[in-house]
Amino acid sequence: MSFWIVKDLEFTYRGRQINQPVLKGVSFSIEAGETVALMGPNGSGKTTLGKLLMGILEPDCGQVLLEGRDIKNYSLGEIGARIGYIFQNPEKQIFTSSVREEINFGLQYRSFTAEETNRRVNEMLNCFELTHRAEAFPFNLSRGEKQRLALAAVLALEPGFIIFDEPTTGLDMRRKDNFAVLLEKVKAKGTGYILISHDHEFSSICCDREIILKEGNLVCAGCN
Amino acid sequence: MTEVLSVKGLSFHYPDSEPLFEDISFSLQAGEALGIIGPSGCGKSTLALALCGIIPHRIEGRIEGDVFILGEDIRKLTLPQIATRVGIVFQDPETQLFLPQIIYELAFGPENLCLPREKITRVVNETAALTGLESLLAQHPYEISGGQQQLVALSAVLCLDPSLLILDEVASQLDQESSARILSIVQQLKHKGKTVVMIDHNLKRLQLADRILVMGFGLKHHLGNMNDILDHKELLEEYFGNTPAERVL
Amino acid sequence: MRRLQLMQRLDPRTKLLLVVLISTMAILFTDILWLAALFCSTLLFLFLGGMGPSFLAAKMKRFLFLFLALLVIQSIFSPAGEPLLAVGSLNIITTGGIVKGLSVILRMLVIISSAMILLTSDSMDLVLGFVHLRIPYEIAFMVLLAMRFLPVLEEEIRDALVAVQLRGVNIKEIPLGQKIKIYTYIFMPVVVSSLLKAKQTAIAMEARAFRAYERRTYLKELTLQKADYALMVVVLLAGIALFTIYFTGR
Repeated sequence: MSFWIVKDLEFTYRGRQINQPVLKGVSFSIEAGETVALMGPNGSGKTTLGKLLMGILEPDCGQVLLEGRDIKNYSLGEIGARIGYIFQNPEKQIFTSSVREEINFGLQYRSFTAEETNRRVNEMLNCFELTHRAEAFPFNLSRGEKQRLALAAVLALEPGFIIFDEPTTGLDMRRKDNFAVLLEKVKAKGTGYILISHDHEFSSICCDREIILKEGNLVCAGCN
Repeated sequence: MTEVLSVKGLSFHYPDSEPLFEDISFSLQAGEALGIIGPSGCGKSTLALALCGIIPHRIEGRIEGDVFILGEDIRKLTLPQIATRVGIVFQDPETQLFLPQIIYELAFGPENLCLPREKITRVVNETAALTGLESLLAQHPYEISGGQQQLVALSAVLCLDPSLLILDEVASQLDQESSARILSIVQQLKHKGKTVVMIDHNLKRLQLADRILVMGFGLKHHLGNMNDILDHKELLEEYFGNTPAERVL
Repeated sequence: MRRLQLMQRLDPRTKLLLVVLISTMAILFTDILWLAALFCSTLLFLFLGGMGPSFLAAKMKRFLFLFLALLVIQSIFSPAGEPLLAVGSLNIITTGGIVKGLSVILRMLVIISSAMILLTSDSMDLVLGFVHLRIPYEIAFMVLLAMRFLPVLEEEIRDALVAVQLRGVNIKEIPLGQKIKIYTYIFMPVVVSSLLKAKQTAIAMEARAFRAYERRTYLKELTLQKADYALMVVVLLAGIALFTIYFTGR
């Protein structure tokens, strides 16, 4: 069973003056563990497609099937347990007052013992080199540290996939290399990821597969 | 040749903080372009704010050294006086555009200077023709693409006719095509005699710079032209990691 | 169905007069029937401006809980008429109390919806309207920026609520009393993002010489049309008539 099956997806943005069709009938599927680059120029509909894949937006026509079920039938919490989403600006998803608490945040709603929760938190702190900042106030972290924190907090929930919205915009080459290393860690855990990006070069290096959109249409769903 | 920008021994710290950069000096003539490159957090945006007077007029911090625009000390000029000499465009179009039609964005600067209506109309139309926005004037700024929004932000600044243009990572959020379009307009402006300071972390986009200032080695910095930078192995390694020179460009 | 755009053609000053008159009546009138009639008239103006019932219902939905709470509170503190719900010798909900509560809610609704009439002008026209009425341009621009940032704030809140739910916080299962906790979670990301954007906009405005002088010129010119004069006269006359009728009947 494919992780995601997308059928004839259509979406129109309803603005103040004009209605703009963003996606005009897109279909494809994604298997568990795949690393996918979702590419296209700005305005091609990739961010919208990312949100449709997360069930954050509802399509005008068509369906998104997540693990065989229509994504409409999942609650956001159930979706979050399966797919992580990292905003372009990591600050949008930091809710607590310490790094440790942040990673713990999603885990508190699972039925783990205190020991198990602690173990997972420490594992994430280690994996993302945040142990020395465990008690720090998240908004005081550097940009790179915030990105690692957002990723750690999301990965702690062990989702099957992570969707990154424009992760390398504004990053210099060294930081892009660091981010590529982070992606290796995600991959090592067996988690697939989707990079929504207009940075063609970076995405094609870090992903096995490319889905290319242009003006709302699928140009290629399985390019390499 | 007119010296448009002269920076001598510029150093800066935020209050109660370590110095961000120290002892930067360079000068620019009309029609010259300087690229500023460096990793996140190295102070390049702070330097940009110091060159357009926002620091120290609006943001606090300790500045030492001098910045002279067209021969005048930036600390002795008021912000409105500086606005007609220096224009700055930022990375995020969303926060630079706040009026309901593009034509109002372009008119905003001249309106603030109390220019008469006929002059404002003329300036707006000329600038729109220069940057290719004539057909978009009645549109709402949020219903155009990011690349077009940045063009609007740039045009709005050009309507004040500054001699120095500072572009702070203006192409960072744009795709290849939009980025190329902005850069070609900047090239045209340069030919018309505008002095440009361009900040970017991507060396590829700084190819039209005559000289490049590399920041981010602790407090040290390095000034040279593109070939100097590419030949400087130590610099490349420190800044770009193990990326070979060919991949950098 | 195409949305009506009749109100859009009017000068913002005409609309300001209308809003001031309606709001004043809302504050001074206490009779529930008059308030209801006032509310319906305001809704008519909004409809003429393209804001139909479905649009408004969507906007008002989130305040439903607040209104109900207000209704009950008002009723508790101004008991009158027949008791509908009593605990021992204390009348909690009474018919008179409910009527009073409804009046308060109607008043709020009238004031909020009359302010929405101003939304039928674009924000620059409103600035021009205010400036013509001798309001300092800094204040006029503050209104413009508030209008500009409200949707930004809404979006930040929406994104934060989505992010928090994705992390596992199930909003529907949280008991009413603890719903406040959700807002403490999203407070930081929303405030930080919004403040940052506001600061960047302020810098961009200053860099384009905003507040260089005590006055500024404007590209666009506002001119009052015949329809504006006509409406203003009608509104003023209607206002005088309604006030007279209301207060002489008391």
